[in-house]
Amino acid sequence: MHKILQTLVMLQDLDCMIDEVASKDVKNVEKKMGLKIKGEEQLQEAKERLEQSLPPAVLSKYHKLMKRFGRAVVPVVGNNCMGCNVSVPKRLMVREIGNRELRNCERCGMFLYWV
Amino acid sequence: MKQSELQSYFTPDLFIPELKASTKDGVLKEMAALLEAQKRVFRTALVYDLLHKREGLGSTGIGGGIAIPHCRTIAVEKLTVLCALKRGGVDFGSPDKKPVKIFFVVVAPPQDVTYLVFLGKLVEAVNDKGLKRALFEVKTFEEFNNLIAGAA
Repeated sequence: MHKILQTLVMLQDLDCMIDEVASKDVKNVEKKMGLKIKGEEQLQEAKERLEQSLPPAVLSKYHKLMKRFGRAVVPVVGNNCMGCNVSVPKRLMVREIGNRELRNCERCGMFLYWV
Repeated sequence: MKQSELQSYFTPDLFIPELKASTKDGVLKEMAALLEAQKRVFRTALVYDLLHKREGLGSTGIGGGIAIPHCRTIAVEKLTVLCALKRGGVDFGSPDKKPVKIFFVVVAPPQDVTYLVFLGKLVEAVNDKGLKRALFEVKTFEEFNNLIAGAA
């Protein structure tokens, strides 16, 4: 798997986790489970570390996409980009090939990840 | 989601009758590795890293020998549930300090609306003392599945 793509997936998942632990719905479920969450600041630190490991141009594109769409990396399912539903080239249908390189959807510009 | 729907999320290929690992970190890695081996995620690291970070916020051990490590990631296509057993138990930092013998890993994509509902229903089911006791004795997926079906 392309290293930058893997970092981008991790970064977006981490952004999602940061939002989740702040969400009231999630807090309610965690409370029902008898769980306590503390130390959210360590997620922010981990996020900063991941961001620093990305090339500036990639990080800038990630932030722009996040600001515009609320996500920057989208899965490819059934050969379609799940950001805009457009088909991706057939030669990339196998995930082992698709995830080898960092690619953006030709239509919506989001980073593509083959699940 | 009805209680009866819980059963439909469990599959024999994501059931570990006896974990090899005996540490918290080792158990998380072993379970994440099965998700890759069964082609639910492309790389073990993607799920392991998140589960590990979630544990850093507080143990997902809910007490009584049960833990529910959970996270959202775009690395999975749909809500994915793995069940693993460790007869001797593992110190998972649960609030009641009891070693964890049953693990339910719940991983969902960000947009999945059933994730929180599923977690709630699962906790409700496993908090039943009779079911919990019976789950500790389970050896095969069939036995496990019958118990979950009976709990519905």
